[in-house]
Amino acid sequence: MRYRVFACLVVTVSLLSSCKKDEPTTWESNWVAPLAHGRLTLSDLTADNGYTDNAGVYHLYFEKIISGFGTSDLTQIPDTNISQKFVVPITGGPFQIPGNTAIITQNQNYSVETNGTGLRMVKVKSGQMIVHVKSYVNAYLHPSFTLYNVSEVYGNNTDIDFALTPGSASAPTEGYYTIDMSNKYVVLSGTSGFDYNKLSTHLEIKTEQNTTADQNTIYGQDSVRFELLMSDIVIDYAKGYFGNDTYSFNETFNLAESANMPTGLLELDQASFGFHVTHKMGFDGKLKIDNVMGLNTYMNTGVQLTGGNLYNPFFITRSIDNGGTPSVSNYDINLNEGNSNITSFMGSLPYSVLFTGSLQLNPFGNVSDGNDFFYSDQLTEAKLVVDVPLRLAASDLTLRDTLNVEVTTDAVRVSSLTLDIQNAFPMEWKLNLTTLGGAIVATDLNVPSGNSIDALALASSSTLVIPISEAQWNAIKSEGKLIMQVISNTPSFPQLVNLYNSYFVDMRVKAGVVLNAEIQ
Amino acid sequence: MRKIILAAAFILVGGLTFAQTSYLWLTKSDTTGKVFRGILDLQGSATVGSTFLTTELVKPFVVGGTVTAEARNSVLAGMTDLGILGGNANVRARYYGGRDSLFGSEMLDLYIQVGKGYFGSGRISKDAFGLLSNGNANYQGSRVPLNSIQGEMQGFQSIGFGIYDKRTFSSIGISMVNGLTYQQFSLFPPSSFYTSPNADTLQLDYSGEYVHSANPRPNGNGIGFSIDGEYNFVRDRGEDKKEVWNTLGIRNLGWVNWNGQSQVVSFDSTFTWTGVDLNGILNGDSLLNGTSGFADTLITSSQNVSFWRPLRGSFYVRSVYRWNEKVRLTAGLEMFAAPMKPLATLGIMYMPKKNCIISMNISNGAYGNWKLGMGVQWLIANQFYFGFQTSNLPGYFFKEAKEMSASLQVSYLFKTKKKDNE
Repeated sequence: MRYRVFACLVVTVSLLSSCKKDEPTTWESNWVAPLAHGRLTLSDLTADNGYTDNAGVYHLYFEKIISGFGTSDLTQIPDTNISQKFVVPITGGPFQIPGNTAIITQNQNYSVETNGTGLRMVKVKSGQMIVHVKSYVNAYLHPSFTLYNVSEVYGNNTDIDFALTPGSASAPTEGYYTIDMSNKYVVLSGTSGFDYNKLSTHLEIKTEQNTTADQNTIYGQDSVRFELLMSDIVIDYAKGYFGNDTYSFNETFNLAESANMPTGLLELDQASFGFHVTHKMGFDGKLKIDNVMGLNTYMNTGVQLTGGNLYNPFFITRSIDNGGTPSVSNYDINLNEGNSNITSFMGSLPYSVLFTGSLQLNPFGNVSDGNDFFYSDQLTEAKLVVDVPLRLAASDLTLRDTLNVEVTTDAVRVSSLTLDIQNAFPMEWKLNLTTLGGAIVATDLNVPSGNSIDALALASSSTLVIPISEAQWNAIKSEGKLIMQVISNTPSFPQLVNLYNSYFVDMRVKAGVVLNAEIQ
Repeated sequence: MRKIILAAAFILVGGLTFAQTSYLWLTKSDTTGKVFRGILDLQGSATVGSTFLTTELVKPFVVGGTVTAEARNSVLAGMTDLGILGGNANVRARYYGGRDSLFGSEMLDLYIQVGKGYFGSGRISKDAFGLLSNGNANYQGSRVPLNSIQGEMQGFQSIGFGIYDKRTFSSIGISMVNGLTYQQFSLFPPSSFYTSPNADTLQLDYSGEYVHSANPRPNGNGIGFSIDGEYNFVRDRGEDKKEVWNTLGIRNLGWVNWNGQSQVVSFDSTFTWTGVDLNGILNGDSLLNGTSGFADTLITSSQNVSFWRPLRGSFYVRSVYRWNEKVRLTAGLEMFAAPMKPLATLGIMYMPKKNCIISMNISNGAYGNWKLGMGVQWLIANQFYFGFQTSNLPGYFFKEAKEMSASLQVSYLFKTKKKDNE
């Protein structure tokens, strides 16, 4: 009987333990879901770098500020430390000096560093000046320091008073005074009124008024040291002579960054280029453009823009200060299809434009007698303008873009992409998709040309189905990118077609998704 | 002919269901009520069944592995409209007292019992199951209602006592129930999932509620009671007569008050997905950006409430007809609350010896549809009782089967006073 009971227990335990779960439960289901939709117009495709003319034709339009001639390029007052010792003009001693007796009186012009330019007056936007005084005199002193023509009101002075207790050679007494220079006018024409970079000051040192002679013991050649520390001075307005140095500029601006510049053959019509200078500063100048080069780094080619008077130097005439409002003078260089190679220049599909040149200040010297000027908020400006009406012919014009495909889960696998496309552009497209590693996902998927008549947009419909294998999906997922290449061809190249702003591409992207569910 | 008529009658009204009093006990007892001086009875059972889920599909959820498309499509092909699924696992220990009398009656005594059980059931429509299991690829241009989806799961412990008749094992008892966990998920109209004809729009309407108790803890999350009872009576008793044992019973009929930490989460909103803006992709957004954002848009409101919920109880009837010395015919009917269907059972018991029963039955209802059950009961040395039963034997052998169950009962009958005549 015991055997029977034991057998029953064994059977029971075996049955109960047979349900142990050794691996997760998984299953796949197939879903289809919209991924993206939208209408792409020329504005979208060119990142809004364009406009529509009266005829409805869309223009690519790029504008680049080449240089704002910064105030620091012309002149600046760097951080400066001016130190000077003043000596009691007597010999011998000791002398008992009663109170309120002047022992040192002196006018002084300090030279201010200005990076090579000659300034007669500035208005400071911000910064500070610290006046530091050290007394080695065994007396109660009252130094009075005057900064002539330094004030928020033009022509007024700044007075600084100190009260110093007796000092000694080994233990001088000190005083500090900090001046906020914001919005202060600083006249730098010295005591003569015709100098440059001279800060005019007056110093008077007396014994303290309410002291007695036995409190003030002075020896001949006792000294008091003054320091002026100017820091973080930013000039808001300057007047003087800015010299005749030459400034070079070398700038590159990227067209493809903002407009996804394609590759291939592109015939254009009536493109234009402009170089415009707006001069608002009080100096003469000679401006010369040395080179305007369109660079296509993908094709490793470069085309120089030529034509007209582009590379001839031209002079810009000083502005006139009308009571705080400088006069404005404009200088323009305009190139078009008739006087330059601008069409072929843009037809070379430059990714970037290199621009080099120079500006010489005051090529005729100090003809203003120290009356050059600038306002920091009204600077001379130069800009490049490229205007390309999209009247074009394209042959294998190839646009390449990288799509982000960030997938953080293994539960989802895209098994297909379906693109429903309505194309109103008068060009046929071929679509290629590759992984970042170069593996082909889809190739030569054809989108037929639209049926638009002039500005009347009439779209053709097409559906592209792109199967994606598990291996392709794994590559896309690990790389996180998908390379899309669109090859465009207009009919009867090089016959030109107008691209109107009414043209569009409507696209819906659907994905077939395999959902891998897993339960531990 | 009379036997055939009787057999047909039992098919209609009688049956054998495990966890009801063993026929061997009934037949071993007598009118003195003094055959046994106490019984310790241990029972355990587990069942997983459905009207549509096959063992092929369910097996990976139990032992792991891949749920194949073939299994899912096979299930879908076999579904009509609404599918029901469920399962339970229970253990119970009961001790029938062996005292001489109770309340002055020698025929009555007490029993005490402890138990633990889990129960779950749910329902889902064919289309909703197809959507969830296979995806929406086959549902483009249609709206799949989801309001058919409902599920409930409850777990509880119980301890109780009752009075039983030593002659017939008729009993009535009450148990205190300690609610362990309660989960109920229901979707209401207009819950649905819509896929536009060209799959450029997905729309999920979700309206429903999720009711759940607090996280399981030893002291439980609710308290209640349940009643078990059984009335057994015999007609034409005696070995030389066409003896019929009849049973009327209730099982696990009760309610639990789930405490105030329980939560009702309601949701009612619409989520529409048409993909991201194409310009965003050209500007560097990820092609799959936003597809995982549904959780962020799920709008719910919740409140903590205390509530009563019934336990998953049942009523049952059973009859066992003594066909001849070695053959008994059985029939039974058990009624459950929705979504479970009434369970009708009919079967045959073969008794090669008087202490051994081999049974077979066919039944329809409860979690599933038709099933073929088998069982064996054995009273060893008039003291040890062993019973094993499955309500659907094919569930262990055929992947198309839709129910698996196993029940085990082990008992010890104390100090048998009446000499067994096996």
